[in-house]
Amino acid sequence: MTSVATRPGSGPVIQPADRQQVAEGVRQARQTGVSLGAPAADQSWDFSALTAEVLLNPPDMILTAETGHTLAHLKSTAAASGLWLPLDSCHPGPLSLAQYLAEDWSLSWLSQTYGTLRDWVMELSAINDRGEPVRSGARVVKNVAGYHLAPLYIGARHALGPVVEVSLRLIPSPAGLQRVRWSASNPNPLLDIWLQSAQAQRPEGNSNPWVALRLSGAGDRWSLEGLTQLSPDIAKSWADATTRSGPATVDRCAQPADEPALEGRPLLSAHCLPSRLRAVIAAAAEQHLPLVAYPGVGALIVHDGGRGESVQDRALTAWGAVLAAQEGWVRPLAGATLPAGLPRRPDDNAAQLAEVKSILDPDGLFGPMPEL
Amino acid sequence: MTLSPSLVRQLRRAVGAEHVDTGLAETQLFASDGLTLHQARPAGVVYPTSTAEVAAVVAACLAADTPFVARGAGTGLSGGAISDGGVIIQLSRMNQVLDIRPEDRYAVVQPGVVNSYLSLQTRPYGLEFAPDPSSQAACTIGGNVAENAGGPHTLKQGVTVNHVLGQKVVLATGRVASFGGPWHAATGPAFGSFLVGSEGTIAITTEVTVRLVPTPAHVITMLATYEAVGGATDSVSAILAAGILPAALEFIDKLCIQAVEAHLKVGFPTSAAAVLLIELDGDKALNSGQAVTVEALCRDNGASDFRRARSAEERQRLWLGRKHAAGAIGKISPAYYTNDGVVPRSRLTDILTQIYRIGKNYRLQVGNICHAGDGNIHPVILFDPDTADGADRAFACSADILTACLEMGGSLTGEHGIGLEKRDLMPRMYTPADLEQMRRLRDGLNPAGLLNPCKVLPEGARCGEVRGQATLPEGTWI
Repeated sequence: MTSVATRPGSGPVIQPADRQQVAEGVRQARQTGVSLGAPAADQSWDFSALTAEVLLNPPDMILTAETGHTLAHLKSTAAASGLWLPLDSCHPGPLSLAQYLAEDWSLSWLSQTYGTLRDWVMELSAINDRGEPVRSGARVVKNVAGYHLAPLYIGARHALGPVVEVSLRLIPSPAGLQRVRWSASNPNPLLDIWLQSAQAQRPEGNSNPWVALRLSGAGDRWSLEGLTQLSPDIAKSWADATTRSGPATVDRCAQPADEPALEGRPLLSAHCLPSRLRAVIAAAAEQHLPLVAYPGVGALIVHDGGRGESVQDRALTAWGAVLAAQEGWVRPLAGATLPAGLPRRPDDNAAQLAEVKSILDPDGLFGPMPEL
Repeated sequence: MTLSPSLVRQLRRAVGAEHVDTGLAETQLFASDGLTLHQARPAGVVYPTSTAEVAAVVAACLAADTPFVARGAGTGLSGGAISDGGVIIQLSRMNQVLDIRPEDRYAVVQPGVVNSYLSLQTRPYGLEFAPDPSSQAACTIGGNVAENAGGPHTLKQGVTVNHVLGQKVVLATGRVASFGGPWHAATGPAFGSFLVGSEGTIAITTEVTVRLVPTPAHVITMLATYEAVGGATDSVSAILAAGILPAALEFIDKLCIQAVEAHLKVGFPTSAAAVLLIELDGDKALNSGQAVTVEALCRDNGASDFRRARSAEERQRLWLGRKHAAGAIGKISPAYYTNDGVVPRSRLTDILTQIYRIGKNYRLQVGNICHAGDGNIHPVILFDPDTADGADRAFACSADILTACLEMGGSLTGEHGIGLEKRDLMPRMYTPADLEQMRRLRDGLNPAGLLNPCKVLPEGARCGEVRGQATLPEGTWI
């Protein structure tokens, strides 16, 4: 097993060559009393060498991969067989499956139609605190045999045990996608377009014209863009008819396009009811907070706009008060330090996850869960 | 097998004396779910109407060290909602749709709301609850959550867990908690999602927030007829390989077709070896183009006839036939055992060939209904319960079929759950370490072991065998 020191202030990084080495690393850590995980643990994982061959029999529409593979590689592997993994991320930069899963970066412009990572993981393999491989689920597109542990592991930063392999459900790659884009100097006309598309001005015979949709921007530069499966003529006429801010740009896509990357470091995701999102976005715009929003699911990601630490705590706090008034809440991303007072998830999820953590990792071998 | 007088007093205090049954006849009604091969009589049944009442019942049972099991409509098919000498918490009085928010596409319901009733309530808003198990006219949302129910339209829309946003529950420890809420696409670890499909062994769901999806504005329903089973299963692969994701892709074989026609006369061809029921929904222009492709693919793969439903009524008749295909077997056999397994999609032809062979080995007829697009099979095993070994042969036949599913890389169950039925087959699917990890979690979250004991995971001698027919004393009137 390779162990290399990396980032200042963090402990050594363990880079196992295969799953057996992950298990061995856990057993050794257990013997020596060293905690594993990220970011507060003594040692953290680098799964980039866990790249055994991706298993894909196209007719089965299930892809099985070790977690060192990048999400982009898995999507291109599926695409080569005419299949699609309808997961995306606005994360700036490539992500391994282990990183994608650890933080759960799956809130994306596809979420309104396809949900998030936990909707696509059919089987998950991890190493438990005893250094044993454990698995739940199956490599089929439908399964309810036993307890499905994936919803507990996704986003847990490997704090219940390192996740070494997952099987993901795929779907046929949608044909005839169009990419539609509008620009405006403020978010309001763009939100109107979304509302109209979601309600009154649906093209005939189609209940949901959007495969993907997002609104992004800051200051006086905003855009609404998405993917639609409508025929080109319908997409063009519908797009033009629903905009007050000039004709839309409509481009044909040979493959489902990826979501554009954030132009900054993500700080938090925020969640509220879709009907409350306009007020939340308006408050963010007023505070000059750069963001990408997903109107169909009432969620958004606030980032720093590439300005390092220039997003002011004061601006976040002021915006957070509006979010709280709209019954929304935030989830810090990638260990971002947020000002106190931002509303947090108002249910019992964290308390129960603490109990799960104490059951599956009673000695705290794997470091803390981000939610706790 | 009676409850202590003090527990009965506590239960009556919790839900009202008139909502506690301990009589032999009343409790016998709850001795099985839809899988009547497993029977166990509870000692009492309570009918709460609120989360607080459920919590009070749970507290009383915990104090009295008495097992308790939540139950909806009892349509489950894995023996998951029965109790041998414990208390059944019957949730059918918790049947209110509490809120519908069309602008935010969610509804809040009590667990006793019937699946199809919810969609009836939301349809005026152009919305519906997508999971549609065949029992949807009777099964309840709480049961759907417990079993992570599916149905024909989950091929495109996903199963129950993909449509549950939040839950209020009474945990096995008696504590009331809520997980999730009306927020869509919340990321991160989610205890609520873990609960969906945990078969009522970790918590009792008392309120559910469900996602609503737009009712498809345009639908095309088609029926393809085949003279050979392989043509139908090959068509399934061909349709998906062509990049088409139908809303539903259902397989029905000859025996089930004949049972349906004997019972309902929906227009299935009785001489066919199999039919595929295929439904497309979404954009009208896209649907129309895909329907042409689907017909061509089906004919290329041996469809001898292909027709589209020309009216809403015709569509409804075709779906009536599909959804009652298992039940219709009751018209041609004194008893039947509906099973549930999954194989990788590419192995559908192989598993059907195996099923017919296994049935022959046991001298049993086996019909087949499949959510073919999901690789989810429902063999229906016909047997005569009055013969000495009829039920035993049906069980053995079922075990062989499920073993064949596992040998093909599949699963013991796609939507019925493990319950009691498949508990002892779990070691064939999972390693001891896998099962131990599940057991640690289950036992840690259900520390007294009183909430729906003996289900899902293989157990020791503490959990008795409950297979077989429970009988009432002669002269009992129901």
